[in-house]
Amino acid sequence: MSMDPRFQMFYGPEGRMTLVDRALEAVMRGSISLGLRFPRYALIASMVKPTRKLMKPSDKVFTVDDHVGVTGSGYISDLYRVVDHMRLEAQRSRLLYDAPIDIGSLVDSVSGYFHEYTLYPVRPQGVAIIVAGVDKLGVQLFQVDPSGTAFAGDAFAVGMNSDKALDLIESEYSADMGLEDALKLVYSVVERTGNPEPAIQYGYITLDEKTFIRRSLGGNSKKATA
Amino acid sequence: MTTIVGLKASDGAVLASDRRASKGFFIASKTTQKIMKVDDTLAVAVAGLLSDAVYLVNVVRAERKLISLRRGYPMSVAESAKLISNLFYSGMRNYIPYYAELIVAGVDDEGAHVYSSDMSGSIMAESFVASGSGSPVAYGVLESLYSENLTVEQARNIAVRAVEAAMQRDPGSGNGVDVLVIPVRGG
Repeated sequence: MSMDPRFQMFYGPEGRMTLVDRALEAVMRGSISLGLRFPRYALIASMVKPTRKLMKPSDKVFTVDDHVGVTGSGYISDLYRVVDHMRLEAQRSRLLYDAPIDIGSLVDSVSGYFHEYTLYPVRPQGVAIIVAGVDKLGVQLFQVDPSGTAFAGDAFAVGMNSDKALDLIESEYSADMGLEDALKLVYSVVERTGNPEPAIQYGYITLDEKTFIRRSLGGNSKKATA
Repeated sequence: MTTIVGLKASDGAVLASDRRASKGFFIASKTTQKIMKVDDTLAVAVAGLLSDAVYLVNVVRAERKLISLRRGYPMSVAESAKLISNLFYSGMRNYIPYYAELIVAGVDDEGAHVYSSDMSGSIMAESFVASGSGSPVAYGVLESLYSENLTVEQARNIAVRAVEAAMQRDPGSGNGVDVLVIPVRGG
């Protein structure tokens, strides 16, 4: 029995969304990104791929608004578009309600953005993101996939070897970790998933400060970035 | 026409209004409801075109419900006031202004709040405010009796006296006083 080719564009014979599956494969080729949530803070980090000596590596961790940060793995140009969408949505809330957007609504909006690209014969977003922020409900951590599915939780990993990274995190994570220990964990997980002496970019936000702060670690980028 | 007042107290917010609706020199209604409940923690008092005010209240009620369902916690009074101000402002900029002045009063996690808003889109947080044709008389009472840290019971008495005074001297206001008290949760 032959399937209508227009239909086959979206669903393969097993009923999976072929284009979305391929997008997930693209994400798995990207350098790894991690996110950890604790009762009083959240930390997100991403490996920065080594580049040529005279080339500045691309940013991987972004401030969306004062109280939200995001990172991701996959096609970096897709990530830039996603980050821009989130920044616009965050400012829309400030204009409409004179209030910072809550992380849940921001994630709903960006997962809607991802989902749009699964409905039509276009290329789905080749990136998965991890969002960290603080709002009235506390410290928040989310992951959003190219399918538009959003997950809330305490630990996420996307990109190359993310399954192995999650195994490591699951056995070594504890809720009472301080920021320094959490950063050490993140760095060693990146290291132990096939990246000796990696350079990472990270960002964190605490319940007390409510401001997302970006930093770099390892590689030749020892300087802190604001 | 109309007299409406709003007062902030330490444990709640108070709105009061007269009941007269005017059509020029004719009293169109003696039982007009000028205080409208948006939901359990927010209400507005209306001076101006009632239909415009009803529309705004309906929009704000829907938006507050929607936002609290979506994000899991309610909209603050400040956010709601800003929303009302945006609606007013876009009306003015499109040459179809909402012909009303609203006193927005409510309670949230930060306590009680009173805002005054008008058709230009301006929004101001106030301790006490009066609006409508009777407001100069009402302000005389409020200026002499209001102080910070009133209880809602004290604020309620002052609000009623302000509207009553306005009804004595303003032909646009009369036919009795309505009062609404919004206590802070657990207060």
